[in-house]
Amino acid sequence: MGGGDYMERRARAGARLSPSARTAKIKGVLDAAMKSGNIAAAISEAGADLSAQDKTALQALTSSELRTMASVQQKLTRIRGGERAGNNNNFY
Amino acid sequence: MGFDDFARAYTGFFKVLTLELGLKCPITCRHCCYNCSPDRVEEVDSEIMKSAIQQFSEIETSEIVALTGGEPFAYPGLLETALEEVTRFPRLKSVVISNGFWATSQEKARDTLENLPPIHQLCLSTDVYHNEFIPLAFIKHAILACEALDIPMFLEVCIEPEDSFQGTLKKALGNDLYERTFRLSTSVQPIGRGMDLNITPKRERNNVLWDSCFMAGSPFVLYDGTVVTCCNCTRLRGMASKSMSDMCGSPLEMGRISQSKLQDIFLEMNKDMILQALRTMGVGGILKLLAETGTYPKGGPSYSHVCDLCIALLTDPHIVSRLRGLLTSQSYVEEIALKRAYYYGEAIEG
Repeated sequence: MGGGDYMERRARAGARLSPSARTAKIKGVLDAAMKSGNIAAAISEAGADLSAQDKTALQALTSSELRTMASVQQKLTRIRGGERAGNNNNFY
Repeated sequence: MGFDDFARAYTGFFKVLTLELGLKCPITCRHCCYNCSPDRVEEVDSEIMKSAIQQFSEIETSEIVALTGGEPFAYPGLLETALEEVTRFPRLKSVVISNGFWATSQEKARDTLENLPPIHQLCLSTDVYHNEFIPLAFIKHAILACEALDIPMFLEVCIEPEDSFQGTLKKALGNDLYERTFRLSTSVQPIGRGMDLNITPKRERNNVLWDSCFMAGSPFVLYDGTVVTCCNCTRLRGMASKSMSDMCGSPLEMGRISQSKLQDIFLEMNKDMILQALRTMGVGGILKLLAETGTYPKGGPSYSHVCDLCIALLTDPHIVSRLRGLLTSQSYVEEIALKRAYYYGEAIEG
């Protein structure tokens, strides 16, 4: 019984995550990666339960893509937060 | 319901359904994106409208029915019916978008609002264009009537070509009322008469729609029952004898209330990869994808606004077909799933 078996069990567990649990995990990994800039560390800290496929997709994100995603998320947050005029980006 | 609730729902998927009651409006603003005027006779069939609201209430994500026009208050019977219908479904709230022409005095404004079924939020459009027809005193009456009746409201203020109208508004409302009234800034949309103004958007590349079109998740039902992806798609009507979806499988037009169940349209939109790419990669991402694969037409389509570009791309049968092919790639499927989870908190199966 080596670490490989453990990882396989975790990956199988990842495949069984409910859609909402999977979404929350992915969001958690991305939030952590936005803060640290290190997607690999974020996956191992916050996304161990994710499937191998999700981990590969997350790992494929470049720093530049992470920065763009963070900026889009900020804009969406501003819109959702309903900032006052003069202080907001255009709604559209 | 505060503006935040509306904005949160509007940036989600199938949480807001906008219904166009008709195209009649007592005024003819120069920037009107739907070419509305007192002469327009088009209006929704009340049975189609009721069916749309009832079907929307059965969809698990549904939260808000937004009633627009034309001018909804120019259709008092339809507006009352629509609000009554919304009230039948406890999960639904209503938002009415109006120019306030009916608020000729504070008493008249109060009577008008009091005699309707509950409005959960009123959006009043006012800006340099509306103000050519609707005095700001009417807007003040409407705001004060909303406050008296405890109806949440906000102002939608088009700030192009310039934002100097805010000063005029502040003077008309008085400092206190101005400060406590939520004001949402919007742009001139390059549709209808708005197209003729030829305004260059101020913040084209900063516009969030460039990177993620959150508006593509909130469908719009035209007065004839056609379900389109967003208000910008209203320009598609009358553009061709055949519908866009029949012509090229464009995701901008998703069917008709009389022919398809809204639940089926919801499922279709949920899995439409072009539509979801629009929501997660934006028009900019789609353009990049086309450029990388050599599909982007040389020189590119001309456009003055990100929405213009979206229409140019997604009504071109060659581009739509190419995108359908490209977006079957597993890497794009995964990118879109990750971004749906991150931006919108949407759970993806599979």
